[in-house]
Amino acid sequence: MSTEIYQKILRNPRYAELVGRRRRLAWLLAGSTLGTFFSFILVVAFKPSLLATTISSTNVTTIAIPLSVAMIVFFWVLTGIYVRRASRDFDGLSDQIVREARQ
Amino acid sequence: MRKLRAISMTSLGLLAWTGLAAAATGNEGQTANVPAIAMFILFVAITLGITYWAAKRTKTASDYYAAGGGITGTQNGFAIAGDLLSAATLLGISSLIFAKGYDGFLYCLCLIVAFPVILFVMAERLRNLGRYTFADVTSFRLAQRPVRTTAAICSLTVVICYLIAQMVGAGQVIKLLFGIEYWIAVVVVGVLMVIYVTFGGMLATTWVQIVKAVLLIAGGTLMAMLAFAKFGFSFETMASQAAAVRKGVNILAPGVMFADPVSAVSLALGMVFGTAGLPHILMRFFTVPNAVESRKSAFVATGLMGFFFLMIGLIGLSAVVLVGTDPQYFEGGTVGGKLIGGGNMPAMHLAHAVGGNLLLGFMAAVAFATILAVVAGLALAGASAISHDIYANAIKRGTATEADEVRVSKISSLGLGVLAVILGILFEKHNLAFLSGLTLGIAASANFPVLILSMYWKGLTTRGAVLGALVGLISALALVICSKAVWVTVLGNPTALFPYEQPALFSMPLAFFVAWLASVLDHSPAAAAERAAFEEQDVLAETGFYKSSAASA
Repeated sequence: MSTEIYQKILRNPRYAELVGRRRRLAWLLAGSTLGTFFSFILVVAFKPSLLATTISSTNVTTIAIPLSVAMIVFFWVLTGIYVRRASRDFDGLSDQIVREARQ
Repeated sequence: MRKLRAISMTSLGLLAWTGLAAAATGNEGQTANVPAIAMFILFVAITLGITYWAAKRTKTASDYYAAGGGITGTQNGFAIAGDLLSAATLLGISSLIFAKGYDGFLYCLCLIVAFPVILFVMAERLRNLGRYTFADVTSFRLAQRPVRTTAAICSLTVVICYLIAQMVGAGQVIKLLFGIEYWIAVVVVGVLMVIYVTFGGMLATTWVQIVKAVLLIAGGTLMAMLAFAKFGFSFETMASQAAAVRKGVNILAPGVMFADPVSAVSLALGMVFGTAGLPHILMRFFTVPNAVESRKSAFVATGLMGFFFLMIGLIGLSAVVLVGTDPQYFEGGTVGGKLIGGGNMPAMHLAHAVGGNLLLGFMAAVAFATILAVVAGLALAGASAISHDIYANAIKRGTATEADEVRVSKISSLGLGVLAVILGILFEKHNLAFLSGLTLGIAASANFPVLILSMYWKGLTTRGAVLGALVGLISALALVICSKAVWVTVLGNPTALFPYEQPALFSMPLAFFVAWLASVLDHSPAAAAERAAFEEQDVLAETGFYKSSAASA
């Protein structure tokens, strides 16, 4: 029964569309997250002095601090984008594909 | 006396009694904090109430392991954040920022990055493929016995290392904050942990975690804001005063703490992918009803942690000024000498500095509550690995009744509680700095590679999954033993065999490589069947059609 359903799903062209679009989004967002973070970590590891630059000549606050806060906000916004896109674009499509396969 | 004994029959009474009795005698010259004890007893009373409520609702195996799948995404987000925001986060990271400045904050960044990654590539798949443990997912199309046994061994290693670290930390922190003896503190934590897990299962464990997460985030925010107000809510003012206190090192820039670049990168890798491989965190994704709620929980958890980490940053940096220049917080009143209570205390001293004994008491109670909630989650994850993976699926091959499985889980949680208390007491005087690196290193090397390959790579076979996990486990363990923290500090050898502090940069790629190599070299018919079964698994992972069909049928 379930084998039959899965083969029907697999034959549905919209399944390939769903998977393709969702994976592209997921890997794009995961890549942005990890890319941003590990670039930052590589600077911390190999050239920390770059991040010791102050935000202006009169301040003691270094650029490391606003950059870190911005990263935290950025990562959270990315999770928000994924959740929004997933419920707007993917859930309906996914339900429809399963419904069609069960008929 | 009779009356006293009658009260102490209940664990709450027992706790109040031991706490107050020890406080009354004032052992080892520590002063008891009355508001702290009162608030802690209130917390314990609430959590025992939750456990009683949850116990009545916990009947089936699904109730026990996954709260019947009835936790909402928002609730689960709080619980996940609670699991990661341990006492080590509150006390440890703020004290690192206090001591080393910006580098301490890097730990926060590493921890938070794990969650977007979990959301994008893992959360929905976990929910669609698994029921109770992450080994449900890794063993989905592979041989149950070897894959589950290996996953359970790796999970238990992670859980036990994490538990020891929490127990020892708990004993030391509680001894200081409440003035009760170390062993009593460890026993109290162990007893309460076993009560929550055994009687209330995942439902109680989740709600204890939610209550604690709310208290911790509220308390931390209050403390951070009171401290920030002392600088007129100006970061620049706070930063310049802090920089003036710590002359000589730039605490506002990275690069103070890490001995070498390789260790820094290895630490970051281990923290990010180790967090994504922690069994008690992964287990939380099974407590929500569907993939929609599973996504929402990762979103909520990321937001809560991000917010709390900003508060931790403020706490650590403001403590440099408010605690670091006040003689009353230093032994013998020598500013810049040893902090009273040791290096982990800046956050607690800051609570006193900005909110007096009342806030100190509250934060101390929150720290205790945090430890309890985190060890309960760990114990449940460990007990599930024993009962669901080893007993029900590896030994009984899926023929065990639900009642038997839950019974084994309860006995296992009791066993883990006893083990944690014994190890906690044994390791009191040891330097356990290596444990956090070891725990995350193992999770990143033994759990994460096999989990991600099982979900995304068709070619993974049983042989690859087992060898990859074992090589990850053994190499992470071996590298930590050969590193300075164990080889030199614990074992007393003159020089370390492994020159870096963190294993993940080496052990994680090795685990991936071995899992790949062993899979591609596997030409058995079983391996071919496993590769063929990937397609159906993948459709299920993408659509969750079993679950949606069950829901509409």
